Parts: sequence; structure tokens; C-alpha cells
Amino acid sequence: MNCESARPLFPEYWEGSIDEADRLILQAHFDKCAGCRSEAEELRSIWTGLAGMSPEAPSDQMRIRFYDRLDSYRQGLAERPQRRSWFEWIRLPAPAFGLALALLGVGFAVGYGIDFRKDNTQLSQLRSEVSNMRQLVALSLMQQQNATDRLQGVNWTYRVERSDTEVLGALLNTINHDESVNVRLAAIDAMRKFGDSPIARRGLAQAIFKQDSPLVQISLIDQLVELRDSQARSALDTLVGQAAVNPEVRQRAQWALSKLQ
Amino acid sequence: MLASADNEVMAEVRDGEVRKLAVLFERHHKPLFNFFSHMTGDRALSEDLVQDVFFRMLRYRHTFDPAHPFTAWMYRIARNAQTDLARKRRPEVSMDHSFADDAPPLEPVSSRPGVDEELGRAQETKMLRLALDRLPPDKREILILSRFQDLKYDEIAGILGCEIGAVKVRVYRATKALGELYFQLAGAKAV
Repeated sequence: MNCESARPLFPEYWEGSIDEADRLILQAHFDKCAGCRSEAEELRSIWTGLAGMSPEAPSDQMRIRFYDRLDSYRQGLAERPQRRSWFEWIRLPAPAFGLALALLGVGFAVGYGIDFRKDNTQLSQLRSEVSNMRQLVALSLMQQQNATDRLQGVNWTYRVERSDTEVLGALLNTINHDESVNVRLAAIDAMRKFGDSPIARRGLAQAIFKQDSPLVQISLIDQLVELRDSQARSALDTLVGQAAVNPEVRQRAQWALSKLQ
Repeated sequence: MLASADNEVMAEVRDGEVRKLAVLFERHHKPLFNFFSHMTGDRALSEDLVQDVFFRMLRYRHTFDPAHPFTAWMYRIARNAQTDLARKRRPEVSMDHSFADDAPPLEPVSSRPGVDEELGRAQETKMLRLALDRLPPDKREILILSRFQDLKYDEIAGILGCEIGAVKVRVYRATKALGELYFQLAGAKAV
């Protein structure tokens, strides 16, 4: 190995990711070449020093701008078929086109006569857009690989509408499958909002049997008690009767049965 | 694992699930911002560029091929966005211009007696930051991609359109150039 072929291996050598065969060859070169050896060590300090630079973080506004723009984009896509239909009117047979124009005229007259309703409609539309944005943020964060981000996603679910079945489904999925116990526990707490939903209650009861963590199982049981879900009794009965279940969990299930008379 | 891979998500966006771009945004907006911020030194511009990248991904979603890594495609778009924006803002300026050419010179740490160890490290990091800012853009870029963006060499090769061996050579040369600038600033003997 000469110096020219040794140098491209320096970064992997610094990172410790160099494969064993290359490391041995490089080491043999260092034993013979003091120049490369000293250069590698000197530049190693530069390489490691770069890791000391804190990552830059964007402002909170960036996320808001993104979701706002995405929402507009999606609305634009949704409106496209309607826009095409306006051009299609020109091709309508004359009587149909005439009727369409007449209806349009009536529509304008009605619209100008009740202007005061415009503001309420716009406000309602704005509320809907904000609601969509919150839902999208919650769902997107809950799909991230980083547990902290998924936790943040669960926190966003507190801001969505109670009737949001998509978010409810995502929370149940998180409870059943998330690899982080903390995220699962947070999702259980967030389910309180959806406590009126039979899907939510059934989902919580079924989730107990899918858990490997006794802590999560106890939290699920507590949530069912909090929701006063007497339908959960049969699931709790089954749990008490399973010898393989953690004794503390069975004890908690027994307590829950006494509460849900 | 709960999270779908980037390629799967982007394939869904390509096929009409536009809202799923948000999943990719949540995953990648911070590293992308970091990339632009290190490249340009301008926070506001970096935020604009991040937005631009995601909406270019939407506009050109039909060009995404799930057989190739999503990150390589994303960074290619990012580099194009930066080039396009730079041309639009200052068309008279050569692309080789280093934005830090006007940065004030930093007093070498060796002329400040009594600096304790922690302050010394902070000062070294600051000098390294200045040195990075003064590198030519192509050298700065390869260091940012390899050191800050958590990308493997084959991914960087895909982004830059070159061989893996060439990436390794360029990383070495960029580190050497950075070292030379740093040691000049530090007042010590250059490599």
C-alpha cells in the first residue's frame, strides 16, 4: 500500500468503521510511513472535533408553514376535478347550458342577498383546516422511528376531535405495537379522550392480552376502570383465571372487577 | 418495527397518498435544515430551502423510484434546490464563492492565556466552525454529508453521482483542507 491508497481509508479508520483486512494493511503502512501516521493522528482531532458541533434546529414556524402549505396543496388537488367540470359546461347541449347559467345567476343573487353568512363559513373552514393539520401532525409523528417523536405525536392527539377515528386507530395501534413502553403508556392515557367510543373500550380490553409488559397491562386495566367500562368484565375475568399472567396484573384485574360491579 | 421505511412511504405519496409526505417531513426536516444551515449559514434561507425540497418532492413524486434509496433522491433534490435558489438570488456570484469570505478573523486561542479546559473546547469548536465556513462549497458539502447527515458512503456516492472510492478520497481531501484552515486560525503549524 502506498500513501495515495492509504489516505482514502483515513475517515473509516477515524470512525472505527474500517474493515479488519483494511485496518491491518493500513496499520502496516503506518508502521513504515511516519508521515501518514502523523497526518492521520493530526486529522483525527479535526474529524472528532466536528462531532462537537451542535446540530442546528429550525424554528417552530417551519412545521406550521409546512402543514399549512401541504393542506393547501391537497385542497388544490381535490378541487381539480370540479375546475375541469367548469370547462365541460361549455360543451353541454344549448338548453342544458342555458339552465346551468340560469341556476348560476340564481346562485349569485342568493349569495349577494345573504353576505353576512360569508364570515361564519370562512371561520368554519379555517377550523376544519386547523383540525386537519392537527390530525396530520399527530399521525405523522406517531409513525416516526424515534420514540421521542412518537411521544410528541401522542401528545398532539389531545388536540384532535373526539370523533377522529383515524387517530383513535393510530393510538390503539401504538398501544399494541410500539416498541417503547413509555410511548404505549402515553397512548393509553391519551385514549381517555375517546372513552365514549365502544371501539376504544373494546380495543383497550383486547390490548391487555397483547402486552408483554405488566406495567402496561396494569395501566390498561386502570384506564378501563376510569372509563367505568363494565363490558370489560369478561376480559378481566379471563385475565384473573390465566395462571401464566403476572401475579400483580391478576391482582389488579381482581381489584378492577370489584370496581366495575 | 412500527415505522414504515422511507421508500415505502414515498411510494405511497407517489401513488396518491399525498398527506403521507408529512411522515417524511417529521423524519427528515431537522437533518435537512441542519444540512442547509451548515452549507449556507443562513437560518431563514435554510427553512425556505427545506420547504422547497419537500414541495419539489411532491411536484416530482412521479419520478421517485423505490428501487433506489429515498435519502439519495431527497439530497439530490436538496442540492438542486440550493443551486437554483443561489442562482436566483445572486446570479452574478460564482458558485465557488464561500459565504464566509467576509467573516471576521478569529483571534487564535494561543494568544489567550488562562482559558480553562471547557472554554478551550468551546473555542476550538468555534474555530472549527469558522474553518468549515471558509472551505470551498464542494469540500464543505462532502464533510457535511459524511459527518453530520448520518449517510453511508454508498448513499453519498448516489447523491453525488460518483464512485464510493471517489467519495472516500474527497472526504479525506476535505478533512485535510479543513485541518489546514483550522491550524492557520489556531496559529499552530499547518498539516
